[in-house]
Amino acid sequence: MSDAIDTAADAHTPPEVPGARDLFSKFDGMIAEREALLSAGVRDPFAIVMDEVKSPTLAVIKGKDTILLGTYNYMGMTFDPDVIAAGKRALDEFGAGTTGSRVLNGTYQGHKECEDALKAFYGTSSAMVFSTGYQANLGMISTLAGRGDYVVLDADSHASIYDGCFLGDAEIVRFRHNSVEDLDKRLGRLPVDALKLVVLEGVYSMMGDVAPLPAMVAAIRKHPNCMILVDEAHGMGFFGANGRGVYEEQGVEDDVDFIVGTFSKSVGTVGGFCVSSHPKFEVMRLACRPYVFTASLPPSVVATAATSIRKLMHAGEKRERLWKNSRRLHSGLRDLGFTLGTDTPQSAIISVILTDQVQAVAMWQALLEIGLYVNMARPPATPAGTFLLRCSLCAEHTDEQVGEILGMFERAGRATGALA
Amino acid sequence: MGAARAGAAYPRFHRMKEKNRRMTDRQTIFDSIAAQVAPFNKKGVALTDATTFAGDLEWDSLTVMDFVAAIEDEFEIIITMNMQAEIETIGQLVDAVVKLSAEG
Repeated sequence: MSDAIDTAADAHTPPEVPGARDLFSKFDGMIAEREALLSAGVRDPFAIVMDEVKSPTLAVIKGKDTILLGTYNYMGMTFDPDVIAAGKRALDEFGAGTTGSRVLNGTYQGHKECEDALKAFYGTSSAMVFSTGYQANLGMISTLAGRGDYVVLDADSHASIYDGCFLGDAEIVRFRHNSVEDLDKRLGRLPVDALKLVVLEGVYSMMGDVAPLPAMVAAIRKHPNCMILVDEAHGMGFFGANGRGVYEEQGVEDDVDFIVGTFSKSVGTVGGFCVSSHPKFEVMRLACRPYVFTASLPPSVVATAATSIRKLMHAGEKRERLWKNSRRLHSGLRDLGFTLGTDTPQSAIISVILTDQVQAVAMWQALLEIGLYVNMARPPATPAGTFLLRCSLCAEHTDEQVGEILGMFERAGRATGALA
Repeated sequence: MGAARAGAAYPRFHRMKEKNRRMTDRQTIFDSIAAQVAPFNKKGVALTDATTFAGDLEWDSLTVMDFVAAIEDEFEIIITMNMQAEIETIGQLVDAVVKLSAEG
Protein backbone atom coordinates (compact mmCIF):
# COMPACT_ATOMS: atom_id res chain seq x y z
CA MET A 1 0.00 0.00 0.00
CA SER A 2 2.80 2.40 0.85
CA ASP A 3 4.14 1.82 -2.67
CA ALA A 4 0.81 2.89 -4.10
CA ILE A 5 0.85 6.09 -2.04
CA ASP A 6 4.40 6.87 -3.23
CA THR A 7 3.38 6.34 -6.83
CA ALA A 8 0.31 8.53 -6.44
CA ALA A 9 2.42 11.30 -4.91
CA ASP A 10 4.90 11.09 -7.79
CA ALA A 11 2.15 11.19 -10.37
CA HIS A 12 0.53 14.23 -8.79
CA THR A 13 3.48 16.30 -7.66
CA PRO A 14 2.06 19.38 -5.89
CA PRO A 15 2.50 22.59 -7.89
CA GLU A 16 4.57 24.19 -5.09
CA VAL A 17 7.46 21.78 -5.74
CA PRO A 18 10.05 23.89 -7.58
CA GLY A 19 11.03 22.78 -11.07
CA ALA A 20 8.51 19.93 -11.09
CA ARG A 21 8.31 18.27 -14.49
CA ASP A 22 6.16 15.61 -16.07
CA LEU A 23 5.50 14.40 -19.61
CA PHE A 24 3.41 17.49 -20.36
CA SER A 25 6.23 19.92 -19.56
CA LYS A 26 7.40 19.86 -23.17
CA PHE A 27 4.10 21.51 -24.16
CA ASP A 28 4.48 24.47 -21.79
CA GLY A 29 5.55 26.76 -24.63
CA MET A 30 2.53 25.78 -26.70
CA ILE A 31 0.17 26.28 -23.75
CA ALA A 32 1.66 29.69 -22.96
CA GLU A 33 1.40 30.84 -26.58
CA ARG A 34 -2.24 29.79 -26.76
CA GLU A 35 -3.08 31.49 -23.46
CA ALA A 36 -1.39 34.70 -24.58
CA LEU A 37 -3.40 34.61 -27.80
CA LEU A 38 -6.73 34.02 -26.06
CA SER A 39 -6.02 36.59 -23.31
CA ALA A 40 -5.77 39.19 -26.08
CA GLY A 41 -9.52 38.64 -26.42
CA VAL A 42 -9.63 36.73 -29.69
CA ARG A 43 -11.59 33.59 -30.47
CA ASP A 44 -9.65 30.37 -30.65
CA PRO A 45 -8.93 29.77 -34.36
CA PHE A 46 -8.53 26.06 -33.71
CA ALA A 47 -11.78 25.48 -31.82
CA ILE A 48 -14.54 26.46 -34.25
CA VAL A 49 -17.83 24.55 -33.98
CA MET A 50 -20.24 24.39 -36.90
CA ASP A 51 -23.64 24.16 -35.22
CA GLU A 52 -25.50 23.66 -38.44
CA VAL A 53 -24.32 23.03 -42.01
CA LYS A 54 -26.81 24.32 -44.55
CA SER A 55 -24.92 23.58 -47.77
CA PRO A 56 -21.37 22.99 -49.02
CA THR A 57 -20.81 26.75 -48.78
CA LEU A 58 -22.86 27.84 -45.76
CA ALA A 59 -22.83 26.94 -42.04
CA VAL A 60 -24.09 28.41 -38.80
CA ILE A 61 -21.32 29.33 -36.33
CA LYS A 62 -22.39 30.85 -33.00
CA GLY A 63 -25.81 31.61 -34.41
CA LYS A 64 -24.47 33.41 -37.48
CA ASP A 65 -24.80 32.34 -41.09
CA THR A 66 -21.21 31.97 -42.26
CA ILE A 67 -19.88 31.48 -45.79
CA LEU A 68 -17.42 28.57 -45.86
CA LEU A 69 -14.18 29.41 -47.65
CA GLY A 70 -11.85 26.94 -45.99
CA THR A 71 -13.25 23.43 -46.27
CA TYR A 72 -11.53 21.82 -49.33
CA ASN A 73 -15.02 20.81 -50.37
CA TYR A 74 -13.94 21.75 -53.90
CA MET A 75 -16.69 20.07 -55.88
CA GLY A 76 -19.49 20.57 -53.35
CA MET A 77 -20.38 16.86 -53.28
CA THR A 78 -21.25 16.71 -49.56
CA PHE A 79 -24.94 17.45 -50.17
CA ASP A 80 -25.31 15.85 -53.60
CA PRO A 81 -28.71 14.07 -53.54
CA ASP A 82 -27.43 10.90 -55.26
CA VAL A 83 -24.48 10.71 -52.88
CA ILE A 84 -26.69 11.09 -49.82
CA ALA A 85 -29.21 8.52 -51.12
CA ALA A 86 -26.42 5.98 -51.67
CA GLY A 87 -25.16 6.50 -48.13
CA LYS A 88 -28.62 6.10 -46.60
CA ARG A 89 -29.26 2.93 -48.57
CA ALA A 90 -25.94 1.41 -47.46
CA LEU A 91 -26.62 2.38 -43.86
CA ASP A 92 -29.97 0.55 -44.01
CA GLU A 93 -28.67 -2.50 -45.84
CA PHE A 94 -25.18 -2.98 -44.37
CA GLY A 95 -25.33 -1.28 -40.96
CA ALA A 96 -23.41 1.48 -39.23
CA GLY A 97 -19.91 -0.01 -39.38
CA THR A 98 -17.83 -3.01 -40.34
CA THR A 99 -16.07 -3.49 -36.98
CA GLY A 100 -13.14 -5.04 -38.80
CA SER A 101 -9.97 -4.79 -40.84
CA ARG A 102 -10.09 -4.81 -44.63
CA VAL A 103 -8.16 -8.11 -44.60
CA LEU A 104 -10.49 -9.85 -42.12
CA ASN A 105 -14.21 -9.11 -41.82
CA GLY A 106 -14.09 -5.48 -42.98
CA THR A 107 -14.37 -5.76 -46.78
CA TYR A 108 -17.98 -5.50 -47.97
CA GLN A 109 -19.40 -5.29 -51.47
CA GLY A 110 -19.32 -1.49 -51.05
CA HIS A 111 -15.56 -1.42 -50.51
CA LYS A 112 -15.04 -3.36 -53.73
CA GLU A 113 -17.46 -1.06 -55.57
CA CYS A 114 -15.56 1.93 -54.27
CA GLU A 115 -12.26 0.47 -55.49
CA ASP A 116 -13.89 -0.31 -58.86
CA ALA A 117 -15.02 3.32 -59.11
CA LEU A 118 -11.44 4.47 -58.42
CA LYS A 119 -10.01 2.11 -61.06
CA ALA A 120 -12.52 3.48 -63.58
CA PHE A 121 -11.76 7.08 -62.59
CA TYR A 122 -7.97 6.69 -62.79
CA GLY A 123 -7.71 4.01 -65.48
CA THR A 124 -5.46 1.84 -63.31
CA SER A 125 -5.46 -1.90 -62.70
CA SER A 126 -5.43 -1.60 -58.90
CA ALA A 127 -7.00 0.59 -56.25
CA MET A 128 -6.69 0.27 -52.50
CA VAL A 129 -9.00 2.15 -50.12
CA PHE A 130 -7.64 3.23 -46.73
CA SER A 131 -9.62 4.60 -43.79
CA THR A 132 -8.17 8.11 -44.20
CA GLY A 133 -5.94 9.99 -46.63
CA TYR A 134 -3.41 10.35 -43.84
CA GLN A 135 -3.23 6.58 -43.50
CA ALA A 136 -2.87 6.16 -47.27
CA ASN A 137 0.36 8.18 -47.26
CA LEU A 138 1.47 6.67 -43.98
CA GLY A 139 0.95 3.16 -45.32
CA MET A 140 2.24 3.53 -48.86
CA ILE A 141 5.46 5.36 -48.03
CA SER A 142 6.40 3.32 -44.96
CA THR A 143 5.71 0.03 -46.74
CA LEU A 144 7.19 0.73 -50.18
CA ALA A 145 10.52 2.07 -48.92
CA GLY A 146 12.29 -0.26 -46.50
CA ARG A 147 15.70 -0.48 -44.86
CA GLY A 148 18.46 0.59 -47.24
CA ASP A 149 15.99 2.31 -49.61
CA TYR A 150 15.59 6.08 -49.95
CA VAL A 151 12.53 8.31 -49.81
CA VAL A 152 13.15 11.64 -51.54
CA LEU A 153 10.57 14.26 -50.66
CA ASP A 154 9.79 17.95 -51.16
CA ALA A 155 10.56 20.06 -48.09
CA ASP A 156 6.99 21.43 -48.07
CA SER A 157 5.38 17.97 -48.06
CA HIS A 158 2.22 17.36 -46.05
CA ALA A 159 2.58 15.99 -42.51
CA SER A 160 1.20 12.60 -43.61
CA ILE A 161 4.13 12.23 -46.03
CA TYR A 162 6.68 13.10 -43.35
CA ASP A 163 4.98 10.74 -40.91
CA GLY A 164 5.04 7.96 -43.51
CA CYS A 165 8.80 8.49 -43.72
CA PHE A 166 9.22 8.39 -39.94
CA LEU A 167 7.12 5.22 -39.63
CA GLY A 168 9.30 3.35 -42.14
CA ASP A 169 12.94 2.28 -42.07
CA ALA A 170 14.18 4.04 -45.20
CA GLU A 171 16.70 6.87 -45.44
CA ILE A 172 14.94 10.22 -45.84
CA VAL A 173 16.26 12.92 -48.16
CA ARG A 174 14.62 16.29 -48.56
CA PHE A 175 14.90 18.77 -51.45
CA ARG A 176 13.96 22.45 -51.60
CA HIS A 177 10.32 23.05 -52.43
CA ASN A 178 9.49 22.55 -56.12
CA SER A 179 13.18 22.88 -57.07
CA VAL A 180 13.95 20.63 -60.03
CA GLU A 181 17.66 21.43 -59.75
CA ASP A 182 17.77 20.59 -56.05
CA LEU A 183 15.94 17.29 -56.63
CA ASP A 184 18.30 16.38 -59.48
CA LYS A 185 21.40 17.19 -57.42
CA ARG A 186 20.26 15.15 -54.44
CA LEU A 187 19.31 12.12 -56.52
CA GLY A 188 22.74 12.34 -58.13
CA ARG A 189 24.42 12.06 -54.72
CA LEU A 190 22.58 8.87 -53.73
CA PRO A 191 24.04 5.39 -54.27
CA VAL A 192 23.23 4.33 -57.85
CA ASP A 193 22.12 0.84 -56.82
CA ALA A 194 19.81 1.96 -54.00
CA LEU A 195 16.05 1.85 -54.65
CA LYS A 196 14.36 5.24 -54.36
CA LEU A 197 10.81 6.49 -53.92
CA VAL A 198 10.31 10.11 -54.94
CA VAL A 199 7.22 11.65 -53.32
CA LEU A 200 5.65 14.72 -54.92
CA GLU A 201 2.36 16.56 -54.54
CA GLY A 202 0.29 17.91 -57.43
CA VAL A 203 -0.94 20.92 -55.44
CA TYR A 204 0.84 22.07 -52.28
CA SER A 205 -1.90 22.97 -49.86
CA MET A 206 -0.33 25.83 -47.94
CA MET A 207 0.31 28.24 -50.82
CA GLY A 208 -1.87 26.52 -53.40
CA ASP A 209 1.01 26.26 -55.85
CA VAL A 210 1.37 23.47 -58.38
CA ALA A 211 4.43 21.23 -58.90
CA PRO A 212 6.35 21.44 -62.22
CA LEU A 213 5.85 17.71 -62.73
CA PRO A 214 7.18 17.29 -66.32
CA ALA A 215 10.52 18.91 -65.40
CA MET A 216 10.67 16.92 -62.17
CA VAL A 217 9.90 13.64 -63.92
CA ALA A 218 12.61 14.40 -66.51
CA ALA A 219 15.12 15.06 -63.72
CA ILE A 220 14.13 11.88 -61.88
CA ARG A 221 14.45 9.77 -65.04
CA LYS A 222 18.12 10.75 -65.32
CA HIS A 223 18.75 8.61 -62.25
CA PRO A 224 18.28 4.85 -61.97
CA ASN A 225 16.01 2.87 -59.65
CA CYS A 226 13.44 5.58 -58.94
CA MET A 227 9.69 5.11 -58.51
CA ILE A 228 7.38 8.12 -58.34
CA LEU A 229 4.41 8.68 -56.03
CA VAL A 230 2.24 11.77 -56.49
CA ASP A 231 -0.23 12.92 -53.83
CA GLU A 232 -3.22 14.43 -55.63
CA ALA A 233 -5.28 15.24 -52.53
CA HIS A 234 -5.86 18.84 -53.69
CA GLY A 235 -5.96 18.15 -57.41
CA MET A 236 -8.55 15.38 -57.80
CA GLY A 237 -11.75 16.36 -59.54
CA PHE A 238 -10.76 19.46 -61.45
CA PHE A 239 -7.28 19.11 -63.03
CA GLY A 240 -6.90 17.20 -66.29
CA ALA A 241 -9.38 15.99 -68.91
CA ASN A 242 -10.70 13.28 -66.58
CA GLY A 243 -10.23 15.23 -63.36
CA ARG A 244 -7.49 12.88 -62.18
CA GLY A 245 -5.17 15.61 -61.01
CA VAL A 246 -2.23 17.81 -61.86
CA TYR A 247 -0.23 14.82 -63.16
CA GLU A 248 -2.93 14.26 -65.81
CA GLU A 249 -3.19 17.93 -66.74
CA GLN A 250 0.60 18.14 -67.14
CA GLY A 251 0.74 14.93 -69.20
CA VAL A 252 2.99 12.73 -67.05
CA GLU A 253 0.53 9.88 -66.46
CA ASP A 254 2.85 7.24 -67.92
CA ASP A 255 5.69 8.24 -65.61
CA VAL A 256 3.89 8.12 -62.27
CA ASP A 257 3.87 4.79 -60.44
CA PHE A 258 1.48 5.60 -57.60
CA ILE A 259 -1.24 8.17 -57.03
CA VAL A 260 -2.38 8.78 -53.46
CA GLY A 261 -5.59 10.66 -52.78
CA THR A 262 -8.35 11.34 -50.33
CA PHE A 263 -12.15 11.25 -50.14
CA SER A 264 -12.21 14.19 -47.74
CA LYS A 265 -11.83 16.94 -50.31
CA SER A 266 -13.43 16.79 -53.78
CA VAL A 267 -15.14 13.44 -53.08
CA GLY A 268 -16.87 14.99 -50.06
CA THR A 269 -16.67 12.30 -47.39
CA VAL A 270 -13.72 10.66 -45.60
CA GLY A 271 -11.18 8.00 -46.57
CA GLY A 272 -7.99 7.65 -48.56
CA PHE A 273 -6.67 5.62 -51.44
CA CYS A 274 -3.75 4.63 -53.61
CA VAL A 275 -4.12 3.65 -57.27
CA SER A 276 -1.45 1.99 -59.42
CA SER A 277 -1.00 -0.30 -62.38
CA HIS A 278 2.02 -2.07 -60.95
CA PRO A 279 1.55 -5.83 -61.49
CA LYS A 280 2.49 -6.66 -57.90
CA PHE A 281 0.49 -3.87 -56.28
CA GLU A 282 -2.08 -6.14 -54.59
CA VAL A 283 0.58 -7.47 -52.19
CA MET A 284 0.33 -4.13 -50.40
CA ARG A 285 -2.94 -5.33 -48.88
CA LEU A 286 -0.96 -7.88 -46.88
CA ALA A 287 2.18 -5.88 -46.15
CA CYS A 288 0.84 -2.43 -45.36
CA ARG A 289 0.26 -2.03 -41.62
CA PRO A 290 -1.87 1.17 -41.67
CA TYR A 291 -4.18 -0.77 -44.04
CA VAL A 292 -4.26 -4.03 -42.07
CA PHE A 293 -4.34 -2.89 -38.45
CA THR A 294 -7.32 -0.56 -38.48
CA ALA A 295 -11.06 -0.88 -39.05
CA SER A 296 -12.33 -0.32 -42.58
CA LEU A 297 -14.60 2.57 -43.56
CA PRO A 298 -18.31 2.26 -42.71
CA PRO A 299 -20.55 0.99 -45.55
CA SER A 300 -22.32 4.35 -45.83
CA VAL A 301 -19.01 6.13 -46.35
CA VAL A 302 -17.75 3.88 -49.15
CA ALA A 303 -21.18 4.04 -50.81
CA THR A 304 -21.13 7.85 -50.78
CA ALA A 305 -17.52 7.85 -52.02
CA ALA A 306 -18.21 5.45 -54.90
CA THR A 307 -21.25 7.44 -56.03
CA SER A 308 -19.39 10.74 -55.77
CA ILE A 309 -16.33 9.45 -57.68
CA ARG A 310 -18.49 8.20 -60.56
CA LYS A 311 -20.30 11.55 -60.71
CA LEU A 312 -16.97 13.41 -60.69
CA MET A 313 -16.10 11.63 -63.96
CA HIS A 314 -18.71 13.79 -65.65
CA ALA A 315 -18.47 17.02 -63.67
CA GLY A 316 -17.24 19.37 -66.40
CA GLU A 317 -19.67 22.11 -65.44
CA LYS A 318 -18.63 22.07 -61.79
CA ARG A 319 -14.96 22.20 -62.80
CA GLU A 320 -15.65 25.29 -64.90
CA ARG A 321 -17.42 27.03 -62.03
CA LEU A 322 -14.66 26.14 -59.56
CA TRP A 323 -11.95 27.55 -61.82
CA LYS A 324 -14.03 30.64 -62.54
CA ASN A 325 -14.46 31.24 -58.79
CA SER A 326 -10.77 30.68 -58.11
CA ARG A 327 -9.68 33.09 -60.84
CA ARG A 328 -12.12 35.77 -59.68
CA LEU A 329 -11.15 35.52 -56.00
CA HIS A 330 -7.44 35.59 -56.85
CA SER A 331 -7.65 38.68 -59.02
CA GLY A 332 -10.10 40.37 -56.64
CA LEU A 333 -7.89 39.89 -53.57
CA ARG A 334 -4.81 40.94 -55.49
CA ASP A 335 -6.55 44.09 -56.72
CA LEU A 336 -7.54 44.92 -53.13
CA GLY A 337 -3.84 44.89 -52.28
CA PHE A 338 -3.40 41.61 -50.44
CA THR A 339 -0.19 39.61 -50.82
CA LEU A 340 -1.05 36.15 -52.16
CA GLY A 341 0.82 32.84 -52.10
CA THR A 342 0.94 32.60 -55.90
CA ASP A 343 1.15 35.24 -58.64
CA THR A 344 -1.53 33.47 -60.65
CA PRO A 345 -4.50 31.30 -59.59
CA GLN A 346 -2.85 27.89 -59.87
CA SER A 347 -5.39 25.79 -57.94
CA ALA A 348 -8.56 26.16 -55.85
CA ILE A 349 -6.49 27.27 -52.85
CA ILE A 350 -5.68 30.94 -52.51
CA SER A 351 -3.46 31.95 -49.60
CA VAL A 352 -3.37 35.45 -48.19
CA ILE A 353 0.02 36.12 -46.60
CA LEU A 354 -0.04 38.31 -43.50
CA THR A 355 2.81 39.84 -41.55
CA ASP A 356 2.57 38.04 -38.20
CA GLN A 357 0.38 36.04 -35.85
CA VAL A 358 -1.33 39.10 -34.36
CA GLN A 359 -2.39 40.42 -37.76
CA ALA A 360 -3.37 36.97 -39.00
CA VAL A 361 -5.58 36.25 -35.98
CA ALA A 362 -7.11 39.75 -36.05
CA MET A 363 -7.95 39.37 -39.71
CA TRP A 364 -9.25 35.84 -39.25
CA GLN A 365 -11.52 36.94 -36.40
CA ALA A 366 -12.74 40.04 -38.23
CA LEU A 367 -13.77 37.86 -41.17
CA LEU A 368 -15.54 35.40 -38.89
CA GLU A 369 -17.45 38.16 -37.11
CA ILE A 370 -18.87 39.39 -40.42
CA GLY A 371 -19.70 35.86 -41.59
CA LEU A 372 -16.75 34.32 -43.45
CA TYR A 373 -14.78 31.25 -42.41
CA VAL A 374 -11.25 30.74 -43.74
CA ASN A 375 -8.38 28.58 -42.42
CA MET A 376 -5.66 30.18 -40.39
CA ALA A 377 -2.25 28.54 -40.79
CA ARG A 378 1.01 29.32 -39.08
CA PRO A 379 4.50 27.89 -38.62
CA PRO A 380 5.61 25.15 -38.50
CA ALA A 381 2.84 23.99 -40.86
CA THR A 382 3.54 26.88 -43.25
CA PRO A 383 6.60 27.44 -45.47
CA ALA A 384 9.23 30.04 -44.55
CA GLY A 385 7.61 30.97 -41.24
CA THR A 386 4.63 32.67 -42.86
CA PHE A 387 1.21 33.39 -41.34
CA LEU A 388 -1.55 32.61 -43.78
CA LEU A 389 -5.28 32.83 -44.26
CA ARG A 390 -6.00 29.97 -46.61
CA CYS A 391 -9.07 30.20 -48.79
CA SER A 392 -10.34 27.17 -50.65
CA LEU A 393 -13.10 27.61 -53.17
CA CYS A 394 -16.07 25.43 -53.98
CA ALA A 395 -17.80 24.88 -57.31
CA GLU A 396 -21.03 25.71 -55.46
CA HIS A 397 -19.95 29.21 -54.40
CA THR A 398 -22.29 31.50 -56.32
CA ASP A 399 -21.16 34.64 -58.10
CA GLU A 400 -22.97 36.62 -55.38
CA GLN A 401 -21.06 34.79 -52.65
CA VAL A 402 -17.69 35.44 -54.30
CA GLY A 403 -18.66 39.12 -54.51
CA GLU A 404 -19.66 39.09 -50.82
CA ILE A 405 -16.38 37.36 -49.91
CA LEU A 406 -14.34 40.08 -51.62
CA GLY A 407 -16.38 42.77 -49.84
CA MET A 408 -15.75 41.07 -46.50
CA PHE A 409 -12.01 40.86 -47.13
CA GLU A 410 -11.96 44.56 -47.95
CA ARG A 411 -13.85 45.50 -44.76
CA ALA A 412 -11.78 43.20 -42.51
CA GLY A 413 -8.55 44.33 -44.15
CA ARG A 414 -9.31 48.00 -43.51
CA ALA A 415 -10.58 47.35 -39.96
CA THR A 416 -7.45 45.45 -38.94
CA GLY A 417 -4.90 47.51 -40.82
CA ALA A 418 -3.95 44.57 -43.04
CA LEU A 419 -4.96 46.82 -45.94
CA ALA A 420 -3.67 50.37 -45.99
CA MET B 1 39.57 23.13 -78.47
CA GLY B 2 42.29 20.51 -78.07
CA ALA B 3 44.88 23.10 -77.11
CA ALA B 4 42.55 24.84 -74.72
CA ARG B 5 41.75 21.56 -72.97
CA ALA B 6 45.46 20.67 -72.63
CA GLY B 7 46.19 24.10 -71.22
CA ALA B 8 43.39 23.75 -68.65
CA ALA B 9 44.42 20.28 -67.53
CA TYR B 10 46.87 21.26 -64.86
CA PRO B 11 44.75 23.89 -63.07
CA ARG B 12 41.78 21.52 -63.07
CA PHE B 13 43.85 18.71 -61.56
CA HIS B 14 45.19 21.16 -59.03
CA ARG B 15 41.66 22.24 -58.10
CA MET B 16 40.60 18.63 -57.56
CA LYS B 17 43.54 17.98 -55.25
CA GLU B 18 42.81 21.19 -53.46
CA LYS B 19 39.21 20.15 -53.03
CA ASN B 20 40.12 16.70 -51.70
CA ARG B 21 42.46 18.22 -49.19
CA ARG B 22 39.88 20.75 -48.12
CA MET B 23 37.17 18.10 -47.70
CA THR B 24 39.17 15.98 -45.28
CA ASP B 25 40.65 18.69 -43.09
CA ARG B 26 38.53 18.88 -39.93
CA GLN B 27 39.50 22.43 -39.00
CA THR B 28 38.80 23.67 -42.52
CA ILE B 29 35.40 22.00 -42.42
CA PHE B 30 34.71 23.53 -39.00
CA ASP B 31 35.61 26.97 -40.36
CA SER B 32 33.47 26.49 -43.40
CA ILE B 33 30.46 25.40 -41.32
CA ALA B 34 31.05 28.31 -38.93
CA ALA B 35 30.94 30.67 -41.91
CA GLN B 36 27.59 29.13 -42.95
CA VAL B 37 26.25 29.50 -39.40
CA ALA B 38 27.17 33.19 -39.20
CA PRO B 39 24.17 34.66 -41.07
CA PHE B 40 21.80 32.69 -38.80
CA ASN B 41 23.76 33.41 -35.58
CA LYS B 42 21.61 36.33 -34.48
CA LYS B 43 22.82 36.36 -30.88
CA GLY B 44 26.50 36.20 -31.85
CA VAL B 45 27.10 32.96 -29.92
CA ALA B 46 30.77 31.91 -29.88
CA LEU B 47 30.97 28.71 -31.91
CA THR B 48 32.69 25.59 -30.54
CA ASP B 49 32.26 21.88 -31.12
CA ALA B 50 29.81 21.87 -28.19
CA THR B 51 27.51 24.61 -29.52
CA THR B 52 23.99 23.20 -29.95
CA PHE B 53 21.69 24.24 -32.81
CA ALA B 54 18.41 24.11 -30.90
CA GLY B 55 19.67 25.23 -27.46
CA ASP B 56 22.53 27.70 -27.99
CA LEU B 57 21.66 29.04 -31.43
CA GLU B 58 17.89 28.79 -30.76
CA TRP B 59 17.17 27.67 -34.32
CA ASP B 60 13.71 26.51 -35.25
CA SER B 61 13.11 23.57 -37.57
CA LEU B 62 12.84 25.82 -40.65
CA THR B 63 16.22 27.42 -40.02
CA VAL B 64 17.78 24.00 -39.49
CA MET B 65 16.28 22.83 -42.79
CA ASP B 66 17.70 25.78 -44.78
CA PHE B 67 21.05 25.40 -43.08
CA VAL B 68 21.32 21.66 -43.76
CA ALA B 69 20.51 22.22 -47.43
CA ALA B 70 23.27 24.85 -47.64
CA ILE B 71 25.79 22.53 -45.99
CA GLU B 72 24.80 19.66 -48.31
CA ASP B 73 25.41 21.84 -51.35
CA GLU B 74 28.67 23.30 -50.00
CA PHE B 75 30.20 19.84 -49.54
CA GLU B 76 28.20 18.00 -52.25
CA ILE B 77 26.93 15.43 -49.77
CA ILE B 78 23.57 14.18 -48.47
CA ILE B 79 22.78 14.47 -44.78
CA THR B 80 19.66 12.31 -44.51
CA MET B 81 16.93 13.29 -42.07
CA ASN B 82 17.80 10.09 -40.18
CA MET B 83 21.34 11.43 -39.68
CA GLN B 84 20.09 14.94 -38.89
CA ALA B 85 18.10 13.52 -35.97
CA GLU B 86 21.40 12.46 -34.36
CA ILE B 87 23.18 15.77 -34.92
CA GLU B 88 22.68 18.28 -32.10
CA THR B 89 26.03 20.11 -31.95
CA ILE B 90 28.38 21.78 -34.40
CA GLY B 91 31.06 19.19 -33.52
CA GLN B 92 28.72 16.34 -34.46
CA LEU B 93 27.92 18.08 -37.75
CA VAL B 94 31.62 18.60 -38.52
CA ASP B 95 32.31 14.91 -37.83
CA ALA B 96 29.40 13.88 -40.04
CA VAL B 97 30.63 16.11 -42.89
CA VAL B 98 34.21 14.75 -42.52
CA LYS B 99 32.88 11.19 -42.74
CA LEU B 100 30.45 11.85 -45.62
CA SER B 101 33.05 13.79 -47.63
CA ALA B 102 35.52 10.93 -47.27
CA GLU B 103 32.87 8.46 -48.50
CA GLY B 104 31.92 10.66 -51.44
